[in-house]
This record gives sequence, structure tokens and C-alpha cells, in this order.
Amino acid sequence: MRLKVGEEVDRVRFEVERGKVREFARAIQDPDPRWTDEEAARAEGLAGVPAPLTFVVVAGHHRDQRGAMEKLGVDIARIVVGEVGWAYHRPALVGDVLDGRRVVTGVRVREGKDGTMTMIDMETVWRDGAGEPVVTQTETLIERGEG
Amino acid sequence: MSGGAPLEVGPITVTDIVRFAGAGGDFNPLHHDEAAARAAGFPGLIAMGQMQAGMLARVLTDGFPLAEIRDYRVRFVAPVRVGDRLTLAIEEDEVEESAGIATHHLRLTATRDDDVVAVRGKAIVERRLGT
Repeated sequence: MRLKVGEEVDRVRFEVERGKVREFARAIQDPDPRWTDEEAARAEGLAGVPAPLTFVVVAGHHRDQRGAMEKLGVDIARIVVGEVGWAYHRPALVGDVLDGRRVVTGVRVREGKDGTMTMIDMETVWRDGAGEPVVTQTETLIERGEG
Repeated sequence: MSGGAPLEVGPITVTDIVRFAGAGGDFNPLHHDEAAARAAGFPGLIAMGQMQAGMLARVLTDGFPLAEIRDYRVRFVAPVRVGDRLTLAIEEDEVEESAGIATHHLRLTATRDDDVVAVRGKAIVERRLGT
């Protein structure tokens, strides 16, 4: 592990695009009209078409995942995602431009029968154009032992 | 609400996994290159956890207005393979009421058709009382 708690892993910015929201909803096999239909969204009291709860994973298109793992100093071939969470400040809507800084929030090392296992906690606060938080994403990556 | 009827998805196809790779931007070869998946010790292609996490979120968003959902988190406990069917379920753990707000604590699971739980999720929903 190269980075320390509090250090930035990466930072990306992307727009919540209407077509991308539709594509994502289809990929998670969710036929709910609120992801595509302005009227269904407004009937729910929303100002526009919302994105599904886990939509910010599309940041994968904008991140340099290999570069991020190199910066963390972990072996990408031994990395698995253990946990992911999202705390919602408000629904993300089509047209929002989200800016997220991914920061290391914890590093735990455990010795097991397969060698050293490292658990890395990271947090990304996704902020809108006004700098207000929309969703806070937390993730725990596990680097499995070499054994 | 104590959870609607469970939803069934699958059997998961390679096309489903590739579609999610394109939607989400996850091009780890474990999820589209059979040889890479086998080299990593898996019996074949496996889905990215985020695909199951997204599918599972549906039992939450089907049941509550989006603006009332405060928190959703998942733990990936077993892989989802090509051919697996998943049962997506939600149940209520408890409801706390205070200051005119009901806080619902919910538990979610995505279970494979061999009865192995693949994803365990938790969610918090806050509803204003009397509106």
C-alpha cells in the first residue's frame, strides 16, 4: 500500500446523461418508467429524470482503474471488491455534472493462511455543479494474499 | 411496507454481463474473457458485483419514492456465474419513529438458484409521518 489515509486516489467528473441512464437501467434489468420518462419522474415530485441508485458506477468509464491501483500500490490481479455503499443526499438527475474525489479512508492488514490480505476503504463524495453533495460512495477493496 | 414479492432475474447470460460492462465501464477481463476468468481460478465468466448490486436496488426503488432513500450498501459474498438465476428479496428489520420521521431499516438479498446468497444488502429509508 503506497497511499496513506486521507490521500487522493483519483478525481473524475462526468455528466449524468439521459441515454446513459436508459442504458444503465436496461443493463440492471429495471423496467421502471421513472428512469426514462420525464412525466413518471415528475409524478414522483422529482425535477427531472433520476438515475438509478448505483448509477455513479458509470464513473468506471472515466477512471483509469489500472493507474489508480498502481497509485494505491496494489496488484490489480489480486483485487476483489468486498463492499460498496451509497449515502444519498438527493437523487441524481439527468443533467447533473458530478465531480468526485476518491480518497483513502482506511487500510487494514490481516494475516491469513493465504498470506497477507489488505483491505482498503475509500470514499468518494460526488458533488454537483454548485458544490453540494449528491451521493457519497464508499467502497472496500480486498487485495488477496499471494498464496 | 415490509417488502413486496421477490423478483426473479436470469438465467444470467454472457450478453447480460457484457451489456453491464458497456453500461458501467468495467472492462476487467474476468467479466468477458473466459480464459482470464479460468486463469484466476473461476470455473468460467463471472458477473461484476455491481451488476447484481444494481439489480438488487430495484426491490428498493420499486417500493419507495427515490427521495426517501437515504442509504444503500451491499456486500459481495459469492460470485454470480453465467446460467445462475437470482431471487431478489427485501424485508424490513425495524422501523424507528422520532420527530415525525419513520426510519425504515431494510435487509436485501440476491440469492442464486443453488440457494447460495451472492449479495447481502442493507438500506435506510426515511419517511415523513402524516403526509
